[in-house]
Amino acid sequence: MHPPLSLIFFFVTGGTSVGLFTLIYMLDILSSDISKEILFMGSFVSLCLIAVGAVGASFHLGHKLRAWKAVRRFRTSWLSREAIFSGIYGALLLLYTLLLHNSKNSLYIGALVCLFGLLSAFSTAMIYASNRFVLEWHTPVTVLYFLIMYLMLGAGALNFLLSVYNPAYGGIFKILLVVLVLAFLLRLYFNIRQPYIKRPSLAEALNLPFNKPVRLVDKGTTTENYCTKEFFYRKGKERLSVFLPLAYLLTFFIPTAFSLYFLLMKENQILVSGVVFFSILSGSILERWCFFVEGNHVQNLFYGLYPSEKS
Amino acid sequence: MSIGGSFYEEKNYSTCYMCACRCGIEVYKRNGKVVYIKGNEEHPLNRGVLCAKGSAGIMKEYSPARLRKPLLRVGPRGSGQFKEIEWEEALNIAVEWIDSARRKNPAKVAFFTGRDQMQAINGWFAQQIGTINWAAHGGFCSVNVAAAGLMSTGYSFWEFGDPDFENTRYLMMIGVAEDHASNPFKLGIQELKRKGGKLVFVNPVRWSYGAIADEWIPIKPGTDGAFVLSLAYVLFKYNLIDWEFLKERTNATWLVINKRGTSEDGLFYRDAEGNPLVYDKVSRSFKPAKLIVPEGLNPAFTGEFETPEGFKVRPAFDIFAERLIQDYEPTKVEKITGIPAKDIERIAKEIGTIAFFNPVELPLEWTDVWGRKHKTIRGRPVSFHIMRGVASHTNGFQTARAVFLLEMLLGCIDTPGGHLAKPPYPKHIEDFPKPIKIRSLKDLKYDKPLHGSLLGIPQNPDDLLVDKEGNPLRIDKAYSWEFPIAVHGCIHNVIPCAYKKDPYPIEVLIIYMANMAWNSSQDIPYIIKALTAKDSAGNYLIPKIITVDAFYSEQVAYSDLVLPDATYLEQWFALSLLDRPPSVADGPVDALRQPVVEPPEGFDVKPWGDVMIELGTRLNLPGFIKEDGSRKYRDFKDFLVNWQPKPGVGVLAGWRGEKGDKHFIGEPNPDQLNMYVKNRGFFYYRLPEHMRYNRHINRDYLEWAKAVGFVKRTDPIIMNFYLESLQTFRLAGLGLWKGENQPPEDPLIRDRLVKYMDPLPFWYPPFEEDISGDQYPFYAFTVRPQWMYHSWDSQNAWLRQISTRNYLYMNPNTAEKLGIKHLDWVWVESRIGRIKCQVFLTQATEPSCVWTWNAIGKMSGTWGLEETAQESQLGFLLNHIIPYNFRTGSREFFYCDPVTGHFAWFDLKVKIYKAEDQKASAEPRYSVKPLPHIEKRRGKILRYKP
Amino acid sequence: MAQYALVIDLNVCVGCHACAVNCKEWNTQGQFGPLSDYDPYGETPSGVWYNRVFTFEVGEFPNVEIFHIPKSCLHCQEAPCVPVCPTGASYKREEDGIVLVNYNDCIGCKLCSWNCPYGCREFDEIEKVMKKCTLCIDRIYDESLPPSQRKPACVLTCPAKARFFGDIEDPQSEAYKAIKERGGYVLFPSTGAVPSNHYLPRTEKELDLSDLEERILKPDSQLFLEVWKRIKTSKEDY
Ligand SMILES: Nc1nc2c(c(=O)[nH]1)N[C@H]1C(S)=C(S)[C@@H](COP(=O)(O)OP(=O)(O)OC[C@H]3O[C@@H](n4cnc5c(=O)[nH]c(N)nc54)[C@H](O)[C@@H]3O)O[C@H]1N2
Ligand SMILES: Nc1nc2c(c(=O)[nH]1)N[C@H]1C(S)=C(S)[C@@H](COP(=O)(O)OP(=O)(O)OC[C@H]3O[C@@H](n4cnc5c(=O)[nH]c(N)nc54)[C@H](O)[C@@H]3O)O[C@H]1N2
Ligand code: SF4
Ligand code: SF4
Ligand code: SF4
Ligand code: SF4
Ligand code: SF4
Ligand SMILES: [Mo]
Repeated sequence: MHPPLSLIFFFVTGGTSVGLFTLIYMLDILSSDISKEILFMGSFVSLCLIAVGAVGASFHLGHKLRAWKAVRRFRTSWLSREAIFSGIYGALLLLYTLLLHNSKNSLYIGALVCLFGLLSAFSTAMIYASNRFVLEWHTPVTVLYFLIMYLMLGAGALNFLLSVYNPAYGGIFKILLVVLVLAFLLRLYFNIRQPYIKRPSLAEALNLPFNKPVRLVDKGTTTENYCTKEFFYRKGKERLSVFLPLAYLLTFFIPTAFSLYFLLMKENQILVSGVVFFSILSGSILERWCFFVEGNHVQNLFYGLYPSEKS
Repeated sequence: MSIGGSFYEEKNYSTCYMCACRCGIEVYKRNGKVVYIKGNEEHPLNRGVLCAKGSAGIMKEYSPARLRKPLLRVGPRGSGQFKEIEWEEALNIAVEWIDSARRKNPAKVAFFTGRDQMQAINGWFAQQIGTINWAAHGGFCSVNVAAAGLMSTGYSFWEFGDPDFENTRYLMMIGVAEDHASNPFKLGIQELKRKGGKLVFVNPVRWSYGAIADEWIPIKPGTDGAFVLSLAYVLFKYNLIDWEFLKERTNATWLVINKRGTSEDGLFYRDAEGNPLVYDKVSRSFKPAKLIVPEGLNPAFTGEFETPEGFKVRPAFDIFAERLIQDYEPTKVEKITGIPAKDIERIAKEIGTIAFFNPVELPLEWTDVWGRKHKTIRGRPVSFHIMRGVASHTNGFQTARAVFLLEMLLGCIDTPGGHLAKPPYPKHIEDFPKPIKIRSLKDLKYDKPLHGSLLGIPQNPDDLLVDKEGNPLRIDKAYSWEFPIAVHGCIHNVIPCAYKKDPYPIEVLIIYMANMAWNSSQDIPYIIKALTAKDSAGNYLIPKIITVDAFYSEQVAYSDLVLPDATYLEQWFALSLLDRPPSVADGPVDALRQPVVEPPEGFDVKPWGDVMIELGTRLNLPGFIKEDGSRKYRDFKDFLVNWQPKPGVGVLAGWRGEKGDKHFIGEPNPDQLNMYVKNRGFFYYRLPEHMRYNRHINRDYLEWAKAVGFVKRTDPIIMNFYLESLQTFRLAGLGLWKGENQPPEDPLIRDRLVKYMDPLPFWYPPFEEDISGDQYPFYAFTVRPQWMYHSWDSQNAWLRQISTRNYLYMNPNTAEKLGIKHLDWVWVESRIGRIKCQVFLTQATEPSCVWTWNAIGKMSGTWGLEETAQESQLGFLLNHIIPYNFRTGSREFFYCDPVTGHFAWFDLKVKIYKAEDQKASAEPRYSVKPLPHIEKRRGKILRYKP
Repeated sequence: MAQYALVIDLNVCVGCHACAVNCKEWNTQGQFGPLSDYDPYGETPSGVWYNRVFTFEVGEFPNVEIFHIPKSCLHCQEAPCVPVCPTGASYKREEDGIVLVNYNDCIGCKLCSWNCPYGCREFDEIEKVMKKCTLCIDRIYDESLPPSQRKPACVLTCPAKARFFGDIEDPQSEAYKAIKERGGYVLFPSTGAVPSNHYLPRTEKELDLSDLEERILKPDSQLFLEVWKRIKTSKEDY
């Protein structure tokens, strides 16, 4: 699949927003170490991120001004649900932040923000996970992985935030480490699974009565068209072997190493936290890019661009 | 969803010209522009359907490659530097050039036309100029098939005939990819297949119709003659032969004189009145062949007979039979063709079985020319279609002849289920015109138009166009000793000949609708040299080139004066029975083109027809001027209505007579074109059922055909199993011809005549086998894509998306042996040069050959395309490496069929090796400057919705 | 409920692209046009097409077959492209089962195309909306056209008459009959989309000569034997 940059952007901004808010809210409930200032900053940053993310995501749309129409198919469309949930999430987050600003803390609204944040994340994930025609994506792991990625981004951001305010709370290292490891395992599973996917063949797509190998000799057009460009990113496929390890390195290995370092040193440094967050962020961007490029749409069968079962 | 009103404001009927099939179209307009083109449901040819090309007509009309004004060259030839001039100036220049050349000698004006649909009129124009140097494109296209057919059966394939799709049970296509009957054939083949008939595809490549064929016979290129003759062998062996057909309707039983070393050898044995004789087994005597039916003779097919004069004669069939048995046994032919002997045997049996054990019998009463009444018409439901895979080889004529003989053996000619003629064909073979006769260029006079056909079928050496020394008189060497039966002329020789001033220099070369600088010439590097070469004084060796074209083609880029034509949607035009009509087997059809839209804003283009009238008038050519010296025709529209080559006969056959109440013959009708418009653009006379078959001997048909001027007499049209006229050329080669024209003493020329002018078909390897041999082991040829027409559709925004560039298709096994992989760039080298192109592997290709789509490669800068267009960067043209000649000893021959002069494109032999440099770019690449106005016209986005 | 669809006979489809180009021609001017083309005269021309013809090869020389699959929106009965559309721009009509896009509602999110397993939707980069075969809805319901012409452009134009149009639920329709009689099948059945367009399979005509082989087809030509003998004896003469 061709990686849409606007959607990758939304993934990291929206993901960080939801992850960050969820974590900070949880921490607020679970421990009193979080100062109101940090809570406010966290909410505010989350709010900004979701806003920026939404604007960025709209660049994916041909018609941004009609984006509101996306709410119409709530009953069937995960995209519609995503739009609605993330809208509600944003609105509630705004409300929550305003309340905070006015020094009123509303636990219930915070809970609702989290709920809708997660619903929105879930819906986003389902857009991919429910797609039967990109078998790499079509697994519950996609959803789990999405959620964990969100938390990982959030944890990275929170870690950074906390380092800025230099609070005493250090538990965040552990959380960060845990989500990093979880995310890593899920991603690993995602990759390990791929060669074992039972893939349809061209003969199956053409529904031929025999199982002889069929070869495409002409796709009806010499040059690329929407279908070959949108569902198959040749340049991306070529670069995957470099980008995927790099994504692993940046998203998981470097942050994990530093988290371990934090854990050992039991202290947080702005610079290092910044590096960690930046590493997670840039790694996630790359990782998302790979996620798209790794996705093979079955329509590619007709264009001779679908991987065969063996490879 | 509201569907409101109608999508168009105006609807007109016309005739498509996205290819030469001539389908009827409905052209819909909105806001003054064409919005939709649809097939005309009532048109007998295409019955409502329209092919990909036809459907893309709009994109041709609005193509940025269109010329908008006359062009005069200002830079060197081929630089693409032109200035736009006014028509007045353009016409004056053309008149001056033509007139001054004509004053020296009319032959100094050469006029050659390509995808021409008004050959009769263009030929007449040349006659008015007084030059013998005119021909259309048939010489490089299909003359082998046309000549073999016309001379054998009085008609031929595609524009002359079609399989009887309604009744045929078995259709064998040999060497055909698409051909001109594009829509009619697809309509026909689906009918055949749906009725349970079998389609057999004999072709080294299983694409095009091969895809839906029931059987594919992957023949080695150039070997079809052997295959067909081997089928004949098996048919003969199993007695699957229509003896009655051969006896009554062909000259197979006519006796051939066996008197070696005499001037009668190989000619028919005739009585004192000149009647050919047969040996009647009943009376055991020689009898005139014309009495076979009337007297119920039983002529011998085999044996040798001694004549009263004391020499031996034998039936033509006997000679053929002997040849079959000696040379064409399936096991022998397997080695030549690569087709297993058991398959040859089986296929022949299939054909024979269907023809003889499943005949069609139609309950139609008819009468033959001998007055016998028949209650039914019996047919042999086997049919054939052959085209350039046969024609485009140096053995093409004889191979095509073999197919016509096979048809005769089966009796499937113009019988139900067989192959049917399209009126005005068939015609009496002896009545076909001969080329006009002159003995020297001095016979051509400045102010003397020529009376008589410029092209035709020579019957013997005296009909050749050669001088006393035996040198060619035509610039293209047609009807010379090199190519005696050059029935369509030899357009492909013109540029080399004019460049070498061989046989003589010319001054003005006029090219209409042919891309001779590119895809319809061979050895393009040489052609470009010829077009641009100068003498020591700095004058071009081909002094003046006038091109009539509608688009910025390669040919235009190499011209001095360019006259921009209007498109098919912008002009009056006729598809005439005098020419190449859109007839169907059920009856004659002719049709109209009418101006449906105006040329785009700012365009000052003129239909060639109008320009021709204007030139003719300004040149004071007799045909264009009244007795009183005033102009005869206002414009081409006027000409279409009023021109009469013979009294009562005009361009269009429908609605003649002053009131429009006569068909075929009648005075001009001033309102004729309107009547065509009203009748949806065409005229169709469906023959009554009893006149639809056996037309060679169908009395009612022949009487009707004579009445409407299609034939001159009502005698039976006897088919030439044995082509006696060829023997006269052989005799000349042996020094035994008694006529006035004698071949040069050169044994190379004489041996050629003796060997190839064989009155009975035989197979010999394509010349290139000897010349290139094993050093260049692969055949390389082109195939027509169904969605593109030659070079002219790359300008079409829609069609070019289907094929933006071409590949070299190759069998994977071949590739493996050569160490070549899918999509590798390779060099393809022939004995004259090499090209670099990209390989595409396909199993559907016979391993001894490679192929590509025809004419996709372009010269950068032409056709309204950006200079970076893939057509010119990645696409390639095979023509660069197709040799135009070969040498034997001291002598140069053009690379053509030795009988007809058909250019043998598909003989090309090559070697192939992986390119060191795998960079994606084709070689060689040529470029020319695009015209400034064209550069401005092409946009980056196209959204067509008027 | 009616389900209009196309049925394509692969036994006669020659891969001529007429349906694809005529579709382009009709639809660019029609109610759902124009169909944008990009770089039409440049290096890499491309554009929006509702119908494309694919060519495949199966087997090995000489037992190899070439066949063509023209492919346009299959108007699936369980069209997976429809429910995913967030705006409702993509919808399946109740009355005839045609799957359409309402350009006024389409936000160009492309999700529908991601959920079409057949690659039958093409995004118009200029208009920024999703486009696809409309089954020529602007022809088949146009009452200003004569009834015989109220058929999709691709059906009317197909020179091989390989394309049928009709209600595949209506036993009277040409399409229904073709599917039943000729064993019509659908592309990629495992997608669960339940395509409405059907394809009719290849059939190969084989002639069986065995019967005749014994009874009739004996090398019994007198004339053949006569000439054959003559040649053999004359050879011995040498
Ligand atoms: N290698 C190889 N070469 C071949 C062949 C092959 O099979 N292989 N085939 C050969 C055969 S059979 C043929 S017939 C030739 C065909 O070759 P050409 O006769 O050269 O045909 P086109 O390329 O179609 O070009 C005809 C010219 O007509 C112009 N034209 C188009 N429309 C109009 C119009 O309305 N008015 C005017 N005045 N001009 C117009 C075009 O711009 C173009 O320049 O190619 C031959 N060349
Ligand atoms: N769409 C479209 N239609 C056209 C044209 C076009 O350019 N485009 N051009 C028109 C013109 S001018 C012409 S002359 C006709 C020509 O019509 P076709 O005769 O169909 O022309 P080609 O494509 O040259 O076909 C030659 C076929 O012969 C095969 N072949 C090559 N060598 C041999 C051989 O030795 N033996 C056998 N058995 N087969 C062989 C090739 O594989 C190819 O399939 O088409 C006309 N129709
Ligand atoms: S076959 Fe030729 S004339 Fe007929 S529609 Fe196609 S392009 Fe036009
Ligand atoms: S028009 Fe008909 S024959 Fe041609 S590709 Fe389309 S379906 Fe096949
Ligand atoms: S073919 Fe694709 S676009 Fe058409 S209905 Fe089926 S899923 Fe939707
Ligand atoms: S691109 Fe348009 S039609 Fe497709 S899902 Fe998005 S809004 Fe719906
Ligand atoms: S039904 Fe109409 S829109 Fe659909 S493919 Fe055919 S011509 Fe195109
Ligand atoms: Mo041709």
